[in-house]
Formats: sequence, structure tokens, C-alpha cells
Amino acid sequence: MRKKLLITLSTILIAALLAVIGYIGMLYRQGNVSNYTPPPPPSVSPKEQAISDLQNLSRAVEAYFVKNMEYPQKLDSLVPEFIDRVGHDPLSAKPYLYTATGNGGAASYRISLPAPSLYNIKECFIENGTVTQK
Amino acid sequence: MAQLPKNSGITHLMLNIAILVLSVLALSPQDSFSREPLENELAKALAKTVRCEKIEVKIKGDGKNRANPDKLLIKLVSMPNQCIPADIATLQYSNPKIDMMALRKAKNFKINSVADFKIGMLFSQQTIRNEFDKAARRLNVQYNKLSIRFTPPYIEVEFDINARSIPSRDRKIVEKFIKNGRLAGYAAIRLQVQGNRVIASPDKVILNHFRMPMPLVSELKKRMNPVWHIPRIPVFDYTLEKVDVLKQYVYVSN
Repeated sequence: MRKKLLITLSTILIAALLAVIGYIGMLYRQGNVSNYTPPPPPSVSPKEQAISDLQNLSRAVEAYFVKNMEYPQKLDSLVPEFIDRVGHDPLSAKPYLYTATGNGGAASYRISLPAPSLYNIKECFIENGTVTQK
Repeated sequence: MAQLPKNSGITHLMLNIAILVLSVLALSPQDSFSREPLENELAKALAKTVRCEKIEVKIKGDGKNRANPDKLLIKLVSMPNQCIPADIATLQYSNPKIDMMALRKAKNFKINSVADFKIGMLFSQQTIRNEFDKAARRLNVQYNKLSIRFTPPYIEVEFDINARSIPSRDRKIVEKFIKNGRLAGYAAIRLQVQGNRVIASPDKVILNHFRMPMPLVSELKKRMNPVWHIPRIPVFDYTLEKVDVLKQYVYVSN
């Protein structure tokens, strides 16, 4: 009886020890210099991705305004200072639509999805950082 | 001699017209006849209180009422460290009512009312790096290596710190990771801004080849924050609430 208890306890102890060693091993493996990279972005639906793209582009457009006191005439002007690349709508693979308006330098802008019907919506755009879906 | 009264009448009429024109010009609310552009007056008034390399002012509107334009844009370039180390700050007033009395009499910048106000600031990698250096000097932390890279939405930092120079209170959390008196590694940090205070949220920390467990990272986050308090630019009233890491800048706005 006592022997059985001893075996059970040592089994638990070994299992716990293995778990700790395994955890430390995992932390060690994840700490390699090749892992000096940011955490990967969470996987999201194409619609969430498209809206996130619109928001990122809008922030870059606003930052462009801070530097130039007017909005850019085209999204390509944001590269490479504010964004890496403009990107495309995930479902249609078409570029996002951008319009800038105003006299004496663009004073307002709108970025829209090129094919909103693919997301079962009539219209989706961002203006002044606010996303509108219809 | 007979034409003299007629000439005298014309002279009198022209004199009256000239007086009328001069009176209208003198009473004009824009004072456009005698004064320099309003943009320059505003820039000069701002230069009295805001210290930066360059102040650019743009007024947008139909030009009928310059004291109450559609938009007033102010760009402040290269602000010195005494104030705020932003590379560029741009302020946007929508339908502002500029206090012309304060501007003309006391040469002061004052906005009596505004429909909407936006402020955005850009901080370059070099500026952020300088802020890290300043914070390290202030805390007396010595390091052999410190590199900063912007990878939206993260700021990536690689470091090699002399562990002995870390204050003992903070060293306790990382004690187990110290190797040969050094703390070398990597951190991927997200930024948040709450009421002009910058909060750093490390999502991944690697110390001497070990990834730091998340409970310890959370504890570290609690101790290190707020990492920075962005001073307010004199004259302007605002609270910074948003921050974004872009390719070459950190963009902070209200």
C-alpha cells in the first residue's frame, strides 16, 4: 500500500518535473534570435481585414496631413514614409478607392472598398477616421 | 476765368471721393490695406510662446471674414526638448473665431471659440531613440546596445543592458534571466496614450535567450508605466488620446 502511494507520488513528481522542463524548454526555444519578430497578427475574416486596412490607411493619411498640411492626392504618396505598401481589398484583390477634395490642397478625403457587394453591403468607406457601412 | 468755378467744382468732387475711399479703407475690418498678412501676424504671436524652428500658418476660407475662417492650420516644426520633442505638430481649427483684439493690441494668439479642434504630432525613430537615451541617463541605466525599429503596430527594441545598472526594485522581476551581469534581448512593444501619458504594452519579451512568461511581462508593464508624459504645448488646450506606429513615425493625436 505504502509502495503504491510512493510510486503514485513519484509519478506525479516526475510528470510535474517534465512539465516544468518542457515549459522552460519551450521558453528557451522561443527565445532564439530567429524569434526576434513581433507576434503574428490574429487571423480575421476578410471583412474585418478590409476594415482594418481602411483604418490603417486613414491613420497614414492623417499623419501625411500633419506633415504636409493637406491630404495626399493618391494613396501611393504614403509609401514609404507612412506605410510599407498600399495593399488590396482581400476579396476582390482590387486597390482601395481614394478620393481627396478641396480647394488649394486636399482638405477632406474618403477611402472606400472597391467591391462592397462581395461583403453583402452596399457601401463601406472611412472619412475622418470614422467607418461607415451601408 | 469763366471756367474756374467749374474746375473748382470737379476738384471738390474728387476730393470728396478720395476722402470717402480712404474712410472706407480705414474702416475695413480686415485692415488689408495697411497690415501684413494675418498668417504672419498669427505666426509672430505664436512665436512669442511656442519654441520651435519654424511656424507655418494657413488660413482656408472664402476670404470675406479672415477673423472667422473655415479652417486655421498651424504647423510647428522641430520643437525643442524643453517643450515637446515632436518632429512636427499640426493643429487644425474648424470655424475658429480669432481674437483680433488680443492679436492686434497685445500680439497674443487667442481663439475665442471653435467648432472642432484636431492636433497631430509625428515623432521620428531618431526622436524616439533620443527619448530612450534620455530616460536611460535619467535612470542611470547603462547599455551596450539599443536599436529601435518601427514595425506597425509594434516598436521593436533590441538591447544589451548592464544588469547592475538596473534599479534593484525593477531588477527583481528579471533577476532569473540575468546572465554574466547582462540582460540582452528583444521586445515588441505596442503603445497607448491616455491623457497625454504614453503607456507601453510589451507583447513579447525575450531576455538572454528565454521568452519572458506573460505573467511576468504583465508585472513589468505595471512597473514601467507610464513610460512618458508628453508635455502640453503652451497656448493650446488638448488631450492626446490616440497613438499609431507608422513606418517611419509614431503618430499621436487627440
